[in-house]
Formats: sequence, C-alpha cells, structure tokens
Amino acid sequence: MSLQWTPGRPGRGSMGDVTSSAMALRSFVPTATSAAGAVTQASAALAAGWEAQSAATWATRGEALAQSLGRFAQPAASVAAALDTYAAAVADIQTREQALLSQAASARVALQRATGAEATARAANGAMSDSWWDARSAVRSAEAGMDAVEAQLSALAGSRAQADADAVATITAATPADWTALHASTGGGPFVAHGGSLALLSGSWTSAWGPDAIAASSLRWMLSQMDDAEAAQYLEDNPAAAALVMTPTNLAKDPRFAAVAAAAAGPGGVDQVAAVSAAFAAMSAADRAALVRMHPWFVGNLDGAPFADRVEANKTSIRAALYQAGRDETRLLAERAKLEERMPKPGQPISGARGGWADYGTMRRYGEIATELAGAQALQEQYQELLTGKVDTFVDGRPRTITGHQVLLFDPEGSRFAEIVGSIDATSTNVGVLVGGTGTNLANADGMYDRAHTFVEQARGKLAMITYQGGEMPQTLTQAVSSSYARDIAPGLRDFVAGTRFETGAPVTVAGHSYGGSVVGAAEGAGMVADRILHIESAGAGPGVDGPADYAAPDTPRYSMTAPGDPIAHIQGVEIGSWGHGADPDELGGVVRLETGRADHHDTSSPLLQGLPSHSDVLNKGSTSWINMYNVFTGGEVMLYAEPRLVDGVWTPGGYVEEYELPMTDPTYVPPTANVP
Amino acid sequence: MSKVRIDAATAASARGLLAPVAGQVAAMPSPTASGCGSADVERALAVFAGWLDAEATLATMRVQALQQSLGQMEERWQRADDSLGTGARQIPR
Repeated sequence: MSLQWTPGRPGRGSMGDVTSSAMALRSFVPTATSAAGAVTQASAALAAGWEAQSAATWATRGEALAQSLGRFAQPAASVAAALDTYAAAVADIQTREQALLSQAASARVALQRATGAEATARAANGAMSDSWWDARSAVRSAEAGMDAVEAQLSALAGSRAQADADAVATITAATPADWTALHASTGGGPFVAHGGSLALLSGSWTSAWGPDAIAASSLRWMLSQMDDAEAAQYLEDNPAAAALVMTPTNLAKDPRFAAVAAAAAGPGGVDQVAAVSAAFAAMSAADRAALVRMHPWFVGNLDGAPFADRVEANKTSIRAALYQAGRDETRLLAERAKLEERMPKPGQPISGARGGWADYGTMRRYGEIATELAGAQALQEQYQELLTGKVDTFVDGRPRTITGHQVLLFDPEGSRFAEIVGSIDATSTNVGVLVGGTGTNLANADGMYDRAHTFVEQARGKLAMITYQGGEMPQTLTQAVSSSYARDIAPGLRDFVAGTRFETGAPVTVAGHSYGGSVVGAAEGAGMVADRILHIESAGAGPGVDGPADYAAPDTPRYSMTAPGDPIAHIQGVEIGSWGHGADPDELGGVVRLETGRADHHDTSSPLLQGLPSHSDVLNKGSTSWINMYNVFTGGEVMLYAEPRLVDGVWTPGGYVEEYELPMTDPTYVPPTANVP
Repeated sequence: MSKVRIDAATAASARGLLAPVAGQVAAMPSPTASGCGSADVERALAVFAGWLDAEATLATMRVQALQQSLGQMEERWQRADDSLGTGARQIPR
C-alpha cells in the first residue's frame, strides 16, 4: 500500500498512473465504438447473405456482442474525465500544499526565534518588562502565523477529501451496481493485473490464480451476462469454471440476494423453507436467473428454491464434481507412473529391487492407486451420465427424451442425492418421494431411478417421482440395526418434502422402502407433513415412535405392506435404545395394511411374493405390491391385506400344529379394496 | 430440409470486419490509480477495472465464437460448392 494522504499532507500521492489510465481509457473509447460498429456491420452483412435457422442465433449473438462493446464507451469516457479532474485537483492541492509547507517552515522558524527572544528578555529584564512584552507579542504573532498555515492545510485536506469523494462517486456511478455488489459478496479482494481473466478462456487460470475473488467475480459476471446456450457451452468447455462458481460467497452483501440469503440462514425447518420459497417468489426473473448462474452452490440443494432453479444449479455442481474427479484421475495416473519406475522388473526379486522392503510399500500403494483410479473413473462416468445421459420423461403429459438428469440434491461428500423422475409440471396430478433402504448409495442411484421410473411410465407423466437419499445410509444389515442414520437424515427429508409441497399443488406421497421406512417415520417425527405415507417392507414406524401421536400430522393417511416371510418382520416393532426403528408400521394405529400378493398380479399361477427375495421383489413392476404402491402414489384403489386363513390343525409328536394359507394362494381370491384419498 | 444460402464475398467481408475486433478488445486498458495517495480512489478504480476486464473477457469469447461459427459456415459452403462443381450457393444443412 502506497503512502496515503493525511490532513498534514493532503497533496500526498503520485498522479502518474491516474493520468496514464485516463489517457488509455479516453483513447479506448473510439476503439470500442469502432469495434461495436464492425460487429454490427458484420451482423448486418451476414443477415443479408445468410439464410438458415442459425442465422437468427448468429445475429442475436452479434447484437449482444455489439451491445457489450458499446457499453464500454460511455463509462470509459466518464471515468477518464473523472480521473483527469481528479489529477488536476490533486495537482493543484499539491502546488498549494508546497507553498503552505514552505510557509509553515518559515512560521516555525519565526516562532522558535520569538520564543527564544521571549526567554532571553524574561531572564534579562523580568517577566513584565517592556522588552519581554515586545518578545511576547512576537511569539503571539508567530503562533498566529502557524495557526493560519494549519487552517489553510486543513482546508486543503477538505479539498482533497472532496476530490476523492467526487472521483469515487463518478467511478462508482460508471461501474454497474450489480458488478460492485457481486464483487463485494465474493469478498472484495484485490484485483490482479489486467488480462488475468482472459486466461479464463484458455483454462490455465486455475493454476495461475487460484480461486481468488477477482476470478470468481469475473466468472460469475460473465455467466450472468450470457444466454442459456452460451453459459451451458462455456461451462462445458471450461469445467474448472464450474468448480470456481461453487465457491461460497457472502450473498448478504449483494442487495439482489440479501433477502433470500437471510431467509436461508438458520438451522432449517419448515418455516425456513417457507421463507426461502417466499423470497424466491419475490425476486425478479432476471435476479433469479443471475442467482442460479452465479451461485449454484447456494441454490442447488436449497429447500424452498424452485425445482427448475435447483436442477439448473446442480448441473454446474455436477460439472464441478466431474472436474474434480478428472483432476484426481490425472494426479493418480502421474503417481502411478512414478511408482512404476520403482516397481521390480519381471524376474527381479521383490526384496532385492532397489531398496528391499521399501518396495513392498511401493507395491501396496500401487494397488491402492488402482482402486482409487477405478473410483475416480467410475465417478466421472456417473457424473457424465447425470449431465448428458438421455432421460425418458414426460413434458406436459407427452413422452419426451431430455438430455441430463433433473438433480435436486447433489452432495457427494454428504452422500446426498435426489432427482426427479418424470416431470413436475402443471399436468402432474401426484408426486411421490421414494426413500431407499439399506445399501442405498450414490453409486446405485440408477437403480433407484429405474424403480421410480416404472411408476412414472405407468402414469404416463401424470405422476412424478423423486428418488431421495438425504445422507449416508447403512450399507450392511449390522449397520441397519442402528436408527442413527434415520435420525440424521430426518430433518433433511422433512425440509425437502416441505420444499416439494411448495413446488407443486399435487398431493405428495412419501414412501420408504426397508430402512427408508424408518427414515420416513423419523422425518414425520421431526415435523414432516405429507399427503400420504407409504411403508414398503419397512424397518419401522420411526425411531422412538409408538403411535401416530408421535408424528407432526397424526391423521395423515398411512399405508404399509410387508410380504409374508420377509425377515424384516423380525425387527419390526423391536426397539432398544438406538437399536431398532420404533413401532411395527403394519400395526400402527390408523395404518392401512396392503396386500403384497403375487409376483405377477394378473397371472394367478405366478408365485406369491414371500420370504427373503420378496424384500426387494415387491418393487417389481406388475406385482400385486407394485400395483398397490402405484395406486397409493396416484390416489387409486388399493388391495387390502387379509390375515392367513386357518385351513387345518393336526396333532403331531411335537404338539398341535395349525396350518394357515395365505388368501392369495387361492387363484379365485379377490382381495378387498379401498380408495386412497 | 432447410437451406443455407451464403455469399462468399459477404462471408469474407464479415470475416474481415470481425478480424480486428478481438485484438481491439484485448487492448482494453486496465485503469489503475496505484500510488495516488487515496485508498478509496484506488479501490473504486480497481472495481471498475475488474468490470472492464470481465466484459473484455466475455467480448473476446463472443468474438471468437462468432468467428468460429462463420468459419464453419464458410467451410460447409466451400465443401458443398466443391462437390457440386457448379458454384452453387445452395447447400443442404
């Protein structure tokens, strides 16, 4: 930091850079105007000689470029003038300051002399002598001289402060307010030399700059100025850019986003989701679009934000993750190449290969790298699929294939993922949220998608499904005994469902399969409110739940199904401390227990769903259980569970044995039904 | 099938008009008031310069995209013209 001016030195500072900057800006004005004119001419020329659909796109982009070039001229001229004025004012202050400093020096000398003379007079003739009075008068005169100089310096300091303020005001007025706010929100850090952001185009900036404030500000600004296609292409071509805009900022410092930032600040909860939803609704379309482009880290997983915005923001988030996985792969490949130089050659004894036992460490690391590389490559494949995979969906009730998944929650580090299957729009009459069970993780999210898609496909778009994983799920049966996973995920599911209900007016059914049932129950206990609840081979009604009174909305219609012989039945209703998952969902007060029936409901000869395989097979399309799930999701007619019938009783050496038969074993049996509200 | 019609001379003219623009944009000054003795003025000008820089980057990107698009157009035209051997200006797209 150079020396700053002070009240005693109001002229301090060199105007060299100021005047040269003014000159450069002034000379750039005609250049910018000329460049804008050239682009306009080129656009006009091509418009006259080009017939194609893309001509309109070209013309639009040419016009956008001409406009952006044209935008430079006026502010550049304005700032150039302000700098000239400032330099002149400071030069004048400097001139006057020099004169005043010279006067001050003279006055100081005069005062010293007068003070000395006064002392001499007092010593020689006494304090009240004539000579003392004369000397005393001279001192006062010298002091007055000093005061006058200081007053003038003070006035000069006022002039300098005014010159500063005028310059700042003009420069600030010439700078787009949105840019100023954006930069403030990204930390307002120092700017690097001009041309730095041009490196954004070459992709080399990350190593040169690091994620500093200007890179983040420039990038966000550019993205906010682009049209949708431009922005998508840019982020595709520059995945490192996606990583940079995922850097959190202080949104409260940007007036456009301060309200939504305030609404989102807090520990969560349905009220907070409502506040976020209201804040988004109050934003202009332009500000919302800018928020999504510039701050995907904020929007992507924000409950209460419009789903379309979340999906768009998460595309950037996924691109950033893809970029990171690619970097990991590059790093691992480099490490492997180095290790390969140290690996024992064929025929060479391991322990004798340059370093003996140390090479075992090399070999071990080599093996680890292979695993890590496979992981990084698998992630890239998965992320690429999320971005560019062809997805069958329905738009306004008509089947359509879109590019890329509609991701509502993307947080690999937190094991969080949710996506829309189908589409949530005006034609949606129902929305289902499906929470998976033990073993659910990001790597098998495609399996969840496939399951959910069967329902959407059947409803031809009128039903939209959302697959939801709100955190780390148990991966083994041993882990699944603990309710801690469900408790951890519950608040997130509560808020997510609240956000879903703000998104759509359609009834929302929340279904949990296996361990997911415990998650759903825990979320209900944490305050989740849905239109319907469905437990599928559920581990329990939720940790600590004894009955519906433990839920936020006890009267919510609830459905449950458990196939006969599914081992999950052994843990339903068992709970000791943090082990277990609350009451048996099949026997919960008010719950409607559903039939699981046959593997193929319409084939009376097909086997019943029962035993261990039924735990997952209930989700197979066409089964009685699947049809029941579908009808819960869509508000149709469900088939009710009936207790096994006693068909025989015989005495055996071990005692009296009763033989039961499941009603559905009778091909003529028609289960009772009920309508789902 | 839609048709694309492009005139070679027009394309060349547009290319010529665009050619210097990227260089002109890259010549955008980066104003600074370093050493002026006022942190406020330095900061305000730095923020302004940052905006210019971001806009210049965006403009450069757009010029490049337009040039690339034009180049592809000309290439397609040339290819079709060569294949037809008639100097045609109508090419399938």
